[in-house]
Amino acid sequence: MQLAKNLRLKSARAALDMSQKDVAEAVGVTRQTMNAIENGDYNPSVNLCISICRVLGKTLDQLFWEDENNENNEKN
Amino acid sequence: MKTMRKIEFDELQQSKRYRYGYQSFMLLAFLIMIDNVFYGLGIVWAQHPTNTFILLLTSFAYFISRSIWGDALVGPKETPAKVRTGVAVVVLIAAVAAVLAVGYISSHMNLKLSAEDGSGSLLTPYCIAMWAVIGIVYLVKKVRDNKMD
Repeated sequence: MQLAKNLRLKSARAALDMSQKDVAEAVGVTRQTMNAIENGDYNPSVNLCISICRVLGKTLDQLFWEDENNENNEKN
Repeated sequence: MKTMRKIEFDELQQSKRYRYGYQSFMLLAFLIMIDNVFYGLGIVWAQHPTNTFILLLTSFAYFISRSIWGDALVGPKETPAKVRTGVAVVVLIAAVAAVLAVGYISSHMNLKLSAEDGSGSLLTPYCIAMWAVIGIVYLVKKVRDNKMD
């Protein structure tokens, strides 16, 4: 199943003026892994999601929960 | 007590490495089966155990090349400078060991580097070709990444 692009993650990162590399280093993964998560090419584990949320100061709901509102927002 | 440093990969890299390892194993199994079929038909392209070595090296080269291409060769905590230093030290030690071994063998023993049946002459260029392929994959990947950045 092809995952949708995670634009909320991208915007949260941009709001903190952090690059993919900065977030990746803070979380302990490679930049390519962060890129894959943002592009929807990789479905991260819950532990990795929590680490990303902590670094970006967001909750799991805000970054990773998918409901109709979020999906519509991402499509538009 | 000093413990051996463990190379850590992130979860995506780990899953990729498991996949590439499985693919390499399957590739090796199929190559050995095909080789056995050829042998059964009377086609001998290399003497045993040279043929097995070449098949092993092929699956090894596949694993390394796939890992390079999938960014799963080195972990996130390995900086490029650390990796370069490590590789340089290993290559240097290997080169010195090879020169010493060849020098010792040629001066003290009456041995030939290549086997009588010519197997050695097949294995050496294959090893060189394998490392060349890995090097080319690395360079192409590096150029591609630089363009994408």
